[in-house]
Amino acid sequence: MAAAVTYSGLEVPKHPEADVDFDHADLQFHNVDHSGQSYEVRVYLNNTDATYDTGRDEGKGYAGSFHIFGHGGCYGEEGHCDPKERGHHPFDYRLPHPLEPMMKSVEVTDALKRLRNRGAEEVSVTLVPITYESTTRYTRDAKDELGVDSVSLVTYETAFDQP
Amino acid sequence: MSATAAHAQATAGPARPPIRHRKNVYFLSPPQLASLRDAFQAVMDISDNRGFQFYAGLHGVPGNFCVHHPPPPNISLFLPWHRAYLYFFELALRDQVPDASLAWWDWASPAAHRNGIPRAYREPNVDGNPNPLFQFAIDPQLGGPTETDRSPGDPAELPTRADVATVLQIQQFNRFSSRLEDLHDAVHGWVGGTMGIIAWAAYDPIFWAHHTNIDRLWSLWQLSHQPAFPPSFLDQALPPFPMTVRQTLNTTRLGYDYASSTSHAVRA
Repeated sequence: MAAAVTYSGLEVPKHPEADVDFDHADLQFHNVDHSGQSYEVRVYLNNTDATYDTGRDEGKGYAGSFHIFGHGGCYGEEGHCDPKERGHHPFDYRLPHPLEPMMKSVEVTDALKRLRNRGAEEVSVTLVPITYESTTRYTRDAKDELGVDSVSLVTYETAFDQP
Repeated sequence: MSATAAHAQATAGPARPPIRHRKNVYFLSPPQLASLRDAFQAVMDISDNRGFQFYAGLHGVPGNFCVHHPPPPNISLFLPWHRAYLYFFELALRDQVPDASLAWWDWASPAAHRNGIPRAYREPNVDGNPNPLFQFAIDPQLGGPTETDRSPGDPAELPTRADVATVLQIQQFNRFSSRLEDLHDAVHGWVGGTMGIIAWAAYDPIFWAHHTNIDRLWSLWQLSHQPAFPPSFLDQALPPFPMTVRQTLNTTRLGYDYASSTSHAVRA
């Protein structure tokens, strides 16, 4: 089972005008690796001790989950599964390499407001990957490691501002 | 008489509707389910580029053509690419059984949350014969699993109607596509086994019912959302299919629509 990872220091937005507040908040996960195993990734706010056994308990910081549909390792020769092996050319109409890292997002509006209303000024984000065990025997040399470069917390004041 | 010939004869009457309907797998009539099974069995029996092995192999191993979450800032091709994929596979099915059409599995329905995989796909045998919707034998030369299998989770863990409703309310295409794709990812993992890995997922017959449902949900979203895409996106090809994004945007022009069920009669 891949290890949990934590990202700290995300600022909870403060709104100086009392009648203005965010109505939507997303966590965006950047450069997510999807070359290996498949996971459900549970997202916890301000609970760095979260594990599989923490469950989906909002009282313990559970804010939602996202899913990684993994490629299952590499079924090709050396270099086949490395996006960096592909050259950069003018007039290149190929689609992006299938293993280019992706972005995932999870809406955390309610969870973030709960924390803010309790006075939190910063949040940590702990990701607990839950491997789909029945899939692991169909992978080849697949990484069992959650690869997420960074996390952004993005809030919006109206639903119409969503990107 | 072969299954293909029997179906051809049965559908050679005066009025097959020009637009085919992809129906809810739970509501397929016995003849409609038989057509679906016969079509899958027929393409599974073909080893060349008209067959199931060929089409399943386009997605993961060995073709690796599938398109999933794009790296930003690209507009997601996940939905158009898989619509093209379903379209060409459905034509391959109909080449063998002319009245066959893909069916959709609504994994957010009460029935799915009670029973998980639909009976049509979970019974190993039907009338004493192997059920082609249950399993497929993968070409061993690919060096992976030699047959599909599943290990479904607790049906209560499948995405809910509320999850789907939330996604369908999203206004912006990329955001809608990304969130719908995440529900899709969750169902792949929930089914488990070969369905849970991109390399082998399309070899499982239920892959096609799952993706037909994803395509249906996109079609529902399109009824109330008409985003203005840039020409570069609209003119993007969807390899290996001879089709652009623009050509995927109208299902009627692809000859199909979605329905819960259909029944057809001709004048006596």
